[in-house]
Order: sequence, then C-alpha cells, then structure tokens
Amino acid sequence: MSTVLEKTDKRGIGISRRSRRRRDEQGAYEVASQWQLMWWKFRKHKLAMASAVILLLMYLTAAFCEFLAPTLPAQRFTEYKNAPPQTVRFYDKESGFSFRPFVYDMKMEVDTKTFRRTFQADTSKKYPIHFFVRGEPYKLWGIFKTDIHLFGTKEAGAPLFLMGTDDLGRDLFTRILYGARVSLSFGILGIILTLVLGLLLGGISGYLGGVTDTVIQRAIDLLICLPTIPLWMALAAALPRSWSALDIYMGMIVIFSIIGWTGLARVVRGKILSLREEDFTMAARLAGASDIRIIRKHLLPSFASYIIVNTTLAIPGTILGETSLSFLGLGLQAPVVSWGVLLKDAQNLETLAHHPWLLWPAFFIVLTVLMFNFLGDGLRDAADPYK
Amino acid sequence: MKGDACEKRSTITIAWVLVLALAVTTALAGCSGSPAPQDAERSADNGAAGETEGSKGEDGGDKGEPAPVVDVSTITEFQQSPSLEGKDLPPVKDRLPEVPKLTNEMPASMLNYEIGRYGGTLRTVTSVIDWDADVFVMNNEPLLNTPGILGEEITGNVLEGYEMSEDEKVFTFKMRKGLKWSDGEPVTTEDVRFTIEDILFNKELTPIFPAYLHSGGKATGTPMKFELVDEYTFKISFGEPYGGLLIGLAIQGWRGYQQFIRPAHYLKKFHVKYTPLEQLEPEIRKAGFKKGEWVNLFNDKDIINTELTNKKAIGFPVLTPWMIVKSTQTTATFERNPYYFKIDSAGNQLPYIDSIQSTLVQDIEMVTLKTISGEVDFSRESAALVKMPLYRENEKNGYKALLANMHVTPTDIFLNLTHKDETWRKVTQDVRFRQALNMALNRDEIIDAIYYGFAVPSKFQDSAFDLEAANKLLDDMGMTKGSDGFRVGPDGKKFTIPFEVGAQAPDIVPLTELVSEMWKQLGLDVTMKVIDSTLWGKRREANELKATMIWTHTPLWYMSDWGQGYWGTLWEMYHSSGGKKGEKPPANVQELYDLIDQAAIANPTDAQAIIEQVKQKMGEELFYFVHIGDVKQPLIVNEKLRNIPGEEGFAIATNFSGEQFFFAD
Repeated sequence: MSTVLEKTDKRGIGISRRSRRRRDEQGAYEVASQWQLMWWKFRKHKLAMASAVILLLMYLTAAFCEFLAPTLPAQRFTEYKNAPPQTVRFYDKESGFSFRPFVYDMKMEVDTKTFRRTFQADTSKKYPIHFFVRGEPYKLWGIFKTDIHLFGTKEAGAPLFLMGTDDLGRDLFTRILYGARVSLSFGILGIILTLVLGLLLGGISGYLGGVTDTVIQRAIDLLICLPTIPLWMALAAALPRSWSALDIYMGMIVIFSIIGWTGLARVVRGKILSLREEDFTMAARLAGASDIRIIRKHLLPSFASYIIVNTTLAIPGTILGETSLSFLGLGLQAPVVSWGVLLKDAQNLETLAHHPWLLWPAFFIVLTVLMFNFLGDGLRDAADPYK
Repeated sequence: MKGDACEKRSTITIAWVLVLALAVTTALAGCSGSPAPQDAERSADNGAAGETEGSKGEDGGDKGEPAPVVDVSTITEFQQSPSLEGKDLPPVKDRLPEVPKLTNEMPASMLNYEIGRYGGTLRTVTSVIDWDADVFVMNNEPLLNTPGILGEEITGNVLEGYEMSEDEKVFTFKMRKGLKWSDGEPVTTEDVRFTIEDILFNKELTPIFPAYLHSGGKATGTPMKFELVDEYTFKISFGEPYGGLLIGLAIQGWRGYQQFIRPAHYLKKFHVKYTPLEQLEPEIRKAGFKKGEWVNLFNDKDIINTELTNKKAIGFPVLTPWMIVKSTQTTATFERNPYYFKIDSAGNQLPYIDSIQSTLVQDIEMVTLKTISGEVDFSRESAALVKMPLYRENEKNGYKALLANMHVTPTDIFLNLTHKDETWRKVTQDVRFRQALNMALNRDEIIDAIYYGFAVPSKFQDSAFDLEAANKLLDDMGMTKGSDGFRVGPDGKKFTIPFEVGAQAPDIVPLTELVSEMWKQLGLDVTMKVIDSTLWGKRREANELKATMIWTHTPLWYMSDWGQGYWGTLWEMYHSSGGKKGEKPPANVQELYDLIDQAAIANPTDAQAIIEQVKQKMGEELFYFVHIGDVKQPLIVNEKLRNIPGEEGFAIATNFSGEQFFFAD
C-alpha cells in the first residue's frame, strides 16, 4: 500500500510516469479499502485539503497558545491602551534594511477638544523582534513551567501588538490565541457529546423500533420544532450564575449537545432501519451475534462516513453558538477569554468608530467556520467513494 | 503578516459582519423600529414661541438678559405660554398660587439665569419601557428644595415655607394658598391629612411606615405625629430632635411632594373610607384584581413620583411642570401643566418648554446613535464617559457634550468584614490588611484606564501607591507566601479574595479585572466572577458576598450612604433592626454608626461638620475603599438650550432644573 501512496504523491511530473501511475491506480482501486478510496478522493478536493491544513494549524495554535503568544492574556501595557495594531517592519530610514523584523514605539496623543486618544508611530525608538525570547513566566498546559515565548521583544514592557490592544492595554493577539483554545475546544467537546447522544439514541431507535422508536422520534420532533437561538438563550440563562467559569463552560457544552443530537440521531436511525434488513445483518444474527455486536461491527461501519461528514458540519455550528451566547452576555464571561467574550467587548459604537481592530476575533470565527464548511464539503464528496 | 491594505479591507468586512450581528440581535429581542424624527415638529413649535407677548428677553436675540434678584411679592404681572391661549383656561394669575415659587433650582454662583422664551419640544431618549430617568428627574417636585442639590440651603418648593422649633422636634409647614392640581382643583391641608392619615397611617395601604418618618430617622423610633392647624398649615413632630428631616424632604432619595400631598379629591374615589366597597367592585374587576382587593386598586390608581413617566399616569392630577398625555409603543409625550406654581423673576409661568417627547429605543447603543446624530436635546442618564470622544466628534450635529460632576462615587471596593468565614474575618478585620490593599491600588492607572483621566484620587483616604510598604504590612501580619507563591491566611491555607460583581454600571467589570491584577501583585490569590445583578442582590442580603464593587453616594453628604450594608452586612443589619438581627458591631464601627446617626438627624450645618468626622474616620479605618472621587459625567444638551449651568455643578442637578431650560432662537 505504501508504494501506491508514495507514487500518488508525486503527481504531474512526466507523461510516461503519469500513465504508469494511472495503470497502478487502476490496479490499486480494485484492492483498496473503503477508507483508502475516501482518502484518495478527498485529496483531490484542493479546497478541503487546504482547509484541513489550516484547521490543523489553528488547533495546534490553540494547544500551544501559551508558547506562541508574546505575552499573557491578562498582562496590561498601561501606556498603550486601545493602541492600534503595529506594522512589523524590515526597513528603517536610518539603518536601512535589516533581516531582523522590528516595530516602532508608539506615542499617545490626546485631542484637547474631543479627548480622543490616538497613537502615532515613534520612529526614534524601535524594538527588534527576537525568537525564543524569555518573557512572562507561564505554565504550559498548567504543568511545564517556563518563560520562553516563540517571539517577542527583549525589553520588558515594550510594545508588540500585532492586532492592537484593548481598553485596559492587553494585547489582543495574545487574547485571541487564548480565546482560540476555549472557542475551538468548545466545538470539539460539544460534538463528542452530541455524537454519543446521537449515535446512542438514533441507534436504539432504529434497531429496536416499536414503542421505543416512537417515543424517541416524537422527542426529536419536539426538539426540532423549537427555534434554537431562543432555546439556547433560555437554557443558558437558566445556568446558575453562581457556577465557576469551568462549570459554565461544561454546562454550555451540555446545552448545545442536548439540542444538537437530533439531526444525527435521525440519520443514524434511517441508516440502521435500512441496514438491519440487509442480508449480512440477518447472517450475523443467525450466527448468534448479540445486538450490540451487530450494531458495532456491522451496522456502524457501514455509515461511518456519513457520521464524519455530519460531525464536521456540526462543529462550526457549536462554535458559532458559543460565540453568539457569549456575545449576548449569556455564555462565558470575563475573565475567561473566548472569541465571543472578546467580541462582546467590541459591540459598541466607539469600537466601530475608533478601535475597529477589536473586531479581529470576528475574522477568526469566520475563518474557522468557513474552513470547517469546506472540509465538510470535501468529506461529503469523498464519503461515497464508489460513486 | 498581511499588508496594511488587506488588513484594512478585512477589518471593514468584519465591521459589516458585526453591524449585521447587532441588527440580528436587535431583531431577535423584538425591537419595533425607531420612530420618525421629530425635527419638523420641533422647529414649528419654536416658531410659534416667537410670538410670546410680554415675556422679556426675546428681543435680546440669542441671549436673554440676566435676571435681577427680586422679591416674589413685588411681581404682580404674570405671563403664560402662548400655547395655552384659547384653551378656555382661567387667567394665569388665577392659576398661580397667591405666592408663586420664584424658581431657584441652581445657586446663583452656578447659573447666570436668563429670562427665557416659551415654546419648543424637548426630545429625550430612553432604553427602558415606561421609564425615562432624565424626564423623571426633570419633572420631580419635592416638598422643599436645596439649590444645586448641594444641601447648603433649604427653601420652600411645593410647600411655601417651613419653621423648625428650637429643640428641632416640631416642624410647621405652610402651604401655598391658591396652589392647584393640574386639573384645577385646589391643594389644601385636606390633601395632606388624607395622605398622612388615610394612606401612610393606614396599615393596609402602608404595612411598613417609612423609616425616615420615625424619631431619630430609624425604624426603631416612634412614628411622627401629625397635626392639622388650618387649611394651609400643618405640623409634624417627633419625640427626639430631628433637624435632618428637612434635607430628607428636599432631596434624599428623590422623594417628591407625594410624601405628604396626594390628590385627595381624585383618590377618595378609590378609598373604602370614602367610597363603599360595593361601589368599588366594578372598578376592581375592570383593573383585573380579585373581588375585594381595593388595596390593589388604590395602589394602581395612586401614582407616585417614580411612576409619572408611566402611561398609567395619564390623567392623574399632578403638581409637576409637565404631565404625561400620550404614550405609544415608542414615544411618550409630556405637555406643560397649566397650573404649575413656579415663575421667573419677570413673572413668566414656568416651564418655558411646552412639551417633552421621550423616545424608547432598544438599547444604550441606539441611544448613542440617536445622540450623535443630533436627535436628542437632553441626555444624562444614558450618557457614558467612555463615549465622550464620540460625542465630541459629532457636535457639529447640533448639540454640546458637557462634562459635569457625578453625584455618586464611580465604583467603590468592598470587603465584607462580617462574612461567616472565620479566617476571612480575622484577616479582613485587621486594619493592616486593608491598609496594604489600599496601598496596592494604583489610582493613576485606574483613573487613566477606566475613567479616561476624569477623576481624582480619593481626598479622604491615603492615595499613595507603595507596593513595598504593602508587602511589608502583609509580612508583618504573618501572611507568608506558600510554595505556590500565594500568601496564606492564619489557618495556613491559601488566602483568596473572591470578587463577585454584577454589571450594574459599565465600569464595574473592567475595574474588577484591574483591581484583581493589582492585588495579585501582593501575592494574594484574587478571583473574580460576574453574576446576574438580581442574584448579586440576593447574595449580598444573605451575607454571602466576600468582596464586591458598587457605587455609593458619598459625594452627597446628606445621603448618609457609606456603604455600611456592603462592608459590614451583619453589623448594618444589627443597627437597622435595632439589635434584633445581625451582630453587634465592635467599638470602632459603633463609633462610626453613632456619627452617621447624629448627622442624619442634625440640622444641615451641624450635619456637615459631623460628616467631616465620618470621612476622617473612614480614612483611618478604611472600612471600604473609596479610592477615587470627583468623576465626571457627560451631559448632552442641544446647542440652543439655555439656562444650562456650567460644568462645576452636578449633572443631575442640571437635569433637575429642567423647568428653567428654554430654546434660544
């Protein structure tokens, strides 16, 4: 198998090699497993491949946010409140081009009439950007104590704001990275619970049929009827406010899952209904296999691809849900940093007029959702490789 | 890294996304659209006002002439708004009381009063249904008043005057002869008798007699005694000296004339003493109450001052400058009261402005949007300091954004010294601990970050920022740092300060974040949680909050608000219940309580001296942190609006003087 994979990697080099490869593929197709076929097909979907890479990078970023962020999310730069994003430069008028990137210092000016504060680049002072600098100490994943950041300036308190700062002078780039951890993990954890509920209830409903089926299906009908946003809002508002931030985070995941499992359960039930009548199911049953074994070994793998697609498309919904609830002030709250919480700080006229960079978290939300949608699209195309 | 152009473009896209999100949120919450602008209507009103006959000052063009100081008895000629002509009303002289009130809302040092011109509609905006704080304050009429709400001088208002006996126990109040309700009925001591005997002393209507009307101003004292002298004079007496009553009637708690005067001729129709219950039954049923619930019917019909912006108040007789006449889903209209009792020194009946239009919008951001597009003539309650640059940049749209003083402290920091946690008590009741925390507060940063420089460090608590000294104090207390770098309490465990705040004001959450970071610098474990403000209130009452933030009325000496319920919940409970509930405060706290109690019943001059002692004690003991003060509050006024005091007074005092405003040409 590995040879096939290697060869397909080097595509488009010469005509002779390409025709040889086609012959190989022809042979390989006939013996390849379903997953292999899916992978080949998926790889042809360039947009989905790119999305997968970007998403992987984003999740890695979220996982290592402490190391990647130049500072800490609560670290205040008191001289630089509401400072705009800085431009990373390589060229300086006096010293010319340098390979080491740097940023200029910023000076605050206050308009005497409107009291508006603006920042101007101060070209007389520049801060070179170094890699693997020692900065604020932190604990990676709460375990490894270190103070090495991927990049930063060597002077403590020097400004390095790739995306500007907020009203307390906290670096927005750092906060977005930390927010990514909360917002992105929310999507994954939320979907795991949804998956468990959907598979379990859909599976039981389809396999057992009868009264159980009716009860579960009517429950699903009821849940689908309810408009989701007001329902989320009502449930989120019902979360005890005395809970800690972590409890609220978990509570919200549960809220999204208990509403979100219905679609998946429907698909699973439909599939199981049709598959349980198939000959191979009958054969397994006659051979004395238990119900659980039949579901696990014979039925589930038959529609695993659908589940994957469904899941991928559901993740951005959960992420958006968290963001919108936090944005409305019903979800997570400061000092927890999530993209929704960051956006909540930006929902006012002064931000739109004077500090538009505080809207950066919205860009990352859009990017994430878009990438998940492209990925889901590619997976859907690949999910049925025999077509 | 992306190029600048690209960055800009994506920012704009994102801006649109957010605008869309805002719109969706608005739609979701069931907004019913904003009403059409009323510009045309207002300018028409302004034009009509130009015809005012006899009123002085209009020939001066934009600027009226300053009003000379006069004795009200020398004024014999009175003028009214042209909008009242042809309305089949008695002449203005007969509508005014024999001795009208010569308006004195602001002290002469703060306002160079101009004789105004009649006409115009004042547009306000609110984000709360049936409530407009700006209109409420503007419209409220207390029994007595204190110019500029400073509490320095107390004069008559709805009441013509007062007399206090030597021993400060008996108060004789004189009413204005000829004063009339907005429906033309006379106001007499019968209204007072009805209010006090049939409402306040009626156990069904008033189960708990107001605490401030007891001797000593506390619920534990004996209730006041009421005596009717003649048609225009009545007496109130107490068992103990109570000079503080006067300020209590003038400004404390924004009490209106309704405390003692309610329209008896109107309300008797709903009171079982005057109307048999059988006759009331149809009304009770119509109002949706159960059979026999006349108390609910009465309370529904009896409109108190805070309900005067509610549509229920339409048709209710009032003494206020304006009265609500129409209320739709999005606007409430207030028209002038033709029987209003105040005049200016030229004999013009106030108010100058004929009507108020209060527009209801979805939220604070919509208020801001209307404000900066110049669609609001007066805005105080909804104006936020953080939006000042935005206001100022859009002043070309026809308004001015002033910076006046705020009547409350921005936000104070509280540690509950009576929380049931024994370790917590031991630590927080040690004054060294509070001193250390106080020294770790960097006032300059707080003022700069949260209040944009428009505040000053506390004047009666030490404002020095000294981390070294603060750390030393904590070391002296034996709060050494544990292996995790956090200081430990006397029980050997990590000592935590858990902030729990509600977001009642926009500065509370960011200030808590900031203060938490500052106290962490001392090696203390500080956590914070934002909770729903209703839950916050419940937890506070149940003595469950350990550390929190809220504002107090310390800038107004007569409010006797020193946050007692927040830093010593159980002690305050003991004090207010007369020792029945809570815990007995220690000697140093009792001293403070004694001073505050003395100030509450003392006459204004003595009270102010006592308050200075309170401040000094608060500075030494640091029961709570009044870390900064003198914060500014933006005040949005139409650029044509006159008789607006300068920026040195309280914003809310300017708001209070609304009947004096007028639109210049």
